[in-house]
Amino acid sequence: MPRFEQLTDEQILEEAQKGSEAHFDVLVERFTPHVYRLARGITNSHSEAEDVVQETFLRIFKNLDRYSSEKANFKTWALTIARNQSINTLASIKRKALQFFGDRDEDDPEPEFSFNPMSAESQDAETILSLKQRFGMLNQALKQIPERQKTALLLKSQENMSYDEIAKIMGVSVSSVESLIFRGRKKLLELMEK
Amino acid sequence: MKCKEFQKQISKLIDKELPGNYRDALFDHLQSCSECSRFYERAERIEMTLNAALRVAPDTALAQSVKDRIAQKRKGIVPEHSPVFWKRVPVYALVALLAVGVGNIAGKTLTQAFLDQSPETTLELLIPNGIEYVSDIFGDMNQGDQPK
Repeated sequence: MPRFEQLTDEQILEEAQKGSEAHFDVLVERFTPHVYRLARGITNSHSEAEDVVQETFLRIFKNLDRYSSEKANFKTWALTIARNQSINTLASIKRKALQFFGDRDEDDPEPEFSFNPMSAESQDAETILSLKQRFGMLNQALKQIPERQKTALLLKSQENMSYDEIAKIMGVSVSSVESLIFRGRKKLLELMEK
Repeated sequence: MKCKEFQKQISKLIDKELPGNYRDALFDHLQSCSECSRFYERAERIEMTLNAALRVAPDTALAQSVKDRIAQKRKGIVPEHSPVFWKRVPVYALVALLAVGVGNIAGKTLTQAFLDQSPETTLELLIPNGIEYVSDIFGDMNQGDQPK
């Protein structure tokens, strides 16, 4: 039996669908960062994002037998569920009550900066500081743009997904994704130059 | 073509989604249009910021926590609420206490506002008509107590 690292997502999924607990655990390990990043981007909350990750994998587990790789790849399916969970969380009354006390939860850590080592090598301290400041501004601007524009931008920039994959996740046409990303970018530019 | 259309193409170019046959016309336009050139420059800088200085990583314990919960589900023991729920219990309690407190204050204010009656007025209403002094009441009572 090949080691897990050598198996594709689809091969692992196939074994998980047959009931292999170990293979399902590998899916959890592989996709937790992706689901968390999207949920964190949409909800803007560390604890809400953790909750979304829990609920997303529980739903994946419950509906594992319904998944078909012909319709979409596993990442697309998982992120579709994560996005829906995030939107539900964002819309809930509970969330609104918590927002009354402030934008961020007490246990919500500041976003961590981790630089791409390849690009960081050639950067001096001043450049890194400037990049951090720009990231802080960008983070604030992202909070102010509509959810659909933000989700499309995050899926493109963070997950490097194609317009086609993003369209599947968001349940819209490819041209709508183009438009959402374009309007999101323009809005970010406006907000960052205020 | 208007600048807005070119800027849409710039957005697609950054995302590596612009078909090759559109590129020549776009780059020709960029050489002659300072507004679109500036848009391209700023949009690309934002994209670099998103790519270079990001990656909010989840806690390392999160994946394990998910796996534990799925394992419980397999065994038929699923907690009603996720672990995150319990971390928020103090916040829910505070919200509930505040709601009760505000409700009580609001209740008093509303009663006073709508009835607009002081306690003295209420007492006056209980005294029968035609009685001016307290002694009128007690005097009558004393008379009633006397043996016939």
